Amino acid sequence: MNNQELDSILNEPFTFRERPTPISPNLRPVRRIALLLLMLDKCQGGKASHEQLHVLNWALRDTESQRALLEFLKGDGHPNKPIIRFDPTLDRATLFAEAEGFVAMELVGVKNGDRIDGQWPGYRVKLLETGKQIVKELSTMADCFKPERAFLSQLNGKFTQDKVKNLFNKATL
Amino acid sequence: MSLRIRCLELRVTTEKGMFGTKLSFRDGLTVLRAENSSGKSTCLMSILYALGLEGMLGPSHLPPLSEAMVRRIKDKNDASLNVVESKVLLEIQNANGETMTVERSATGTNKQRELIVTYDGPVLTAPDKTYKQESLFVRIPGAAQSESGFHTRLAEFIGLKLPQVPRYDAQPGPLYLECLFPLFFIEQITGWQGLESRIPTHLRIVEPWLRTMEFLLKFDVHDFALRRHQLQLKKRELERAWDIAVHRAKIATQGIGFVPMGISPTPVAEWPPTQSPSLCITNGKDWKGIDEEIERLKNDLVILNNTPIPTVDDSVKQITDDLKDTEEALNQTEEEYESLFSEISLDQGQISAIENRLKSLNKDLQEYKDEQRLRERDIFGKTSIAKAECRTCGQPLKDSLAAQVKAAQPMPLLENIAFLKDQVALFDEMLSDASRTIDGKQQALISLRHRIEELQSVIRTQRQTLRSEGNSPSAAAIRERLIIEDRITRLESSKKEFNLGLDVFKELATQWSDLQAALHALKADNLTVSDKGKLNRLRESFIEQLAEYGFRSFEPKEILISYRNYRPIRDENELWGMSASDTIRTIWAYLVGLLEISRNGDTNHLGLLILDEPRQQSADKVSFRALLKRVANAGSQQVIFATSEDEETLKTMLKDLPHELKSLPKRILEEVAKK
Repeated sequence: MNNQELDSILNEPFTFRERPTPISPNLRPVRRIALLLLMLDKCQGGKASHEQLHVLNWALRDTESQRALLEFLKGDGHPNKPIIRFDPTLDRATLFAEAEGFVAMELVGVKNGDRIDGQWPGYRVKLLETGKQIVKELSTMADCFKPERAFLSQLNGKFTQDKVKNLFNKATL
Repeated sequence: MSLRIRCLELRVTTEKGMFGTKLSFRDGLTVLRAENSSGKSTCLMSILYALGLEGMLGPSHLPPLSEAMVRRIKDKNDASLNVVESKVLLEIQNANGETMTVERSATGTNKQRELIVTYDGPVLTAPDKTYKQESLFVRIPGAAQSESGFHTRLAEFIGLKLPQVPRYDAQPGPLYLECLFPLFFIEQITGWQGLESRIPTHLRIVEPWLRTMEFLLKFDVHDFALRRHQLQLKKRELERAWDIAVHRAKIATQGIGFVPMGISPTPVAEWPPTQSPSLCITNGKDWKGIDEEIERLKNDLVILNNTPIPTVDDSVKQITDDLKDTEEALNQTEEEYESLFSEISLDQGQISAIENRLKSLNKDLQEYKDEQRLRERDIFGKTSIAKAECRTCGQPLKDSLAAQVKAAQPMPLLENIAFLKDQVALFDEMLSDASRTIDGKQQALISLRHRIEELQSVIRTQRQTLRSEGNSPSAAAIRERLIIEDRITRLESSKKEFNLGLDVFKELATQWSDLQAALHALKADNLTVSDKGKLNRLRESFIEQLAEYGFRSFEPKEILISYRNYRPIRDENELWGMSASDTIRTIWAYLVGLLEISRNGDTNHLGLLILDEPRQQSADKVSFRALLKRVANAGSQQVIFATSEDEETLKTMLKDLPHELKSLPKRILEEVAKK
């Protein structure tokens, strides 16, 4: 290519077009919100703290972390605590679900505008009636979320707020 | 088998006297009429509770009974009284006409409520006799299998042989009665939401709806499942046998540096393969067949035999040159060996990287398929999430949970799935290609090892010859002949052994081919003719009823019952877009259909249907009359309806129909005089 040709190309106007990019299924809101509702359904009373949700969310990602969490829940004060990864996309999924009225954020640890003794205020995510309806609908789709459901069913009510505290609390070692 | 409800009694003891009620039931249609919140739902729930079946509603261990049964009850002056103790008694009858009475406490601790007392006779209708009494357990592990479990006893009484089904957590377990009863008992609160969703999932049975329906309709499918299981075992056995045969073939030829080629590492149905199996050897680059090698050795031997054996003196120069050549050849071969060895370890690293990538691609693909299913099912309906727009301002959102401003434009869903599929195919191809290469290289490595040993032994003899006396015959020359002779013998015997081993593959391939055919036959047709006949009868009854009930959402004739999941479908899809009243009509029609086809068909239906407040408000009066007309034909089956429909209307609707109408008092739990 000589200089003349190059100049003629450079003098033409350019158009840039953004091509759609393949993304991880973990970034798709529909799937993640559905999973969020399933996770909440497995927590006591359909309520969970952010920590609880992040732990479940982390565990759901692969079989190795699932095994680690179940192992931890089995024995009290297990020496090998898994390292939990916090995932900002879970918070976004929660916000979407809240906007849609599937879940609500409940303020806890506060009474009449004052802090309750011995507690710090915090939010808890609560499954609402519309969310429960979706969980019900999901439960009829046997071929959907198979591995996720199999894992969640093993938790069996064992996954409580106290257990999560233990996960993050050094004092139990 | 069958189950009939004969008599129900509720007893509540308070601080000021007893309350209670007693209802008896006959075969055919019974309509219980009472005002709203008079306690009729409590009566029906008590039947479920007495049978220890409240687990079908959910995992809770609290009795599903009203306040009046468990805590506080109001007397006729509206004064509230504390419940001290309450219990439910139920008399049931089986197909042989035998009667059993069960008694369960509704108050007390969980432990006390887990106990059910059974009597082997009609305690409520013939209380004067004495009956054998037994205490059994419900709602604890083993209650459906152990001797002391009430559900073991109940299933035996009804005549049900519950099958073993796969479970999520461990070994297969029994199909529980809790899975079956949602098709016989429809309670008011969640009963009218759907069919499949009411089969409890907390019991951790895999695909509970399919297993329940297959058992209820007494399908041969269950036997198919067992047969498939056996074939799978046979398949594993054949794979192992094939593996052993391949291993044998390798061992048989290991000592001679030849490797078997053209034998598939996994079973194949076609034998001999297009490229017939043979033994080959490589010098690191080219491959040579065993027959060719034997031919060459024999020719060499003929030439050697035709020349006299030289003395050492005669051949010193020759041997010295040969020795130099051999040593050089050894060095070169050793170098080749080393470099091939490191190449293989690099390739192995490559393979494990491809395998990791494939694993995560397949996981992503699986997750995307879930997403697609959610979309197809329209799980979020008309919400902003489904439309991908902001709930607050209505602006379009990118279909991604990454920060909206920074996120790249994500691929549309189906395009992304196609992209992943392409990637999986690509990496699959890479993996099989890399595996093939590494296999060839490993075989070449074995050949090189043998070549090295051979060269080392030649060098030893050549050195020995140079050190021996001048007029003795050259040991190297003799050894050369001996080596060739020995090699020919070994090659020929290995070849013979290898060819004998091939017969095993022929036998295994035939078995493999038969097995594949059997597996294919099972896959092609899951349901037998008789199974399909049952589903077709269910469909006939179903669409006939829909027409009678005034189903309007679309033409009932367009509906089929799926051979795959036994649910009503239209155009290969689940029914959707129906009005609320038509949804109720489909539930009526499906449940009544199951009852009807069990009249002459061979099923495991109990011939019992209990409907609480069948939502006639959502349908219209004409439909409700049609429903009553349909179930009034129950004959020797038993249908129990509870409704708050106005009494006069009911009487008009039930005119000319065989039935029994029981009008219940405003408060069903009445004060009873002390005996």
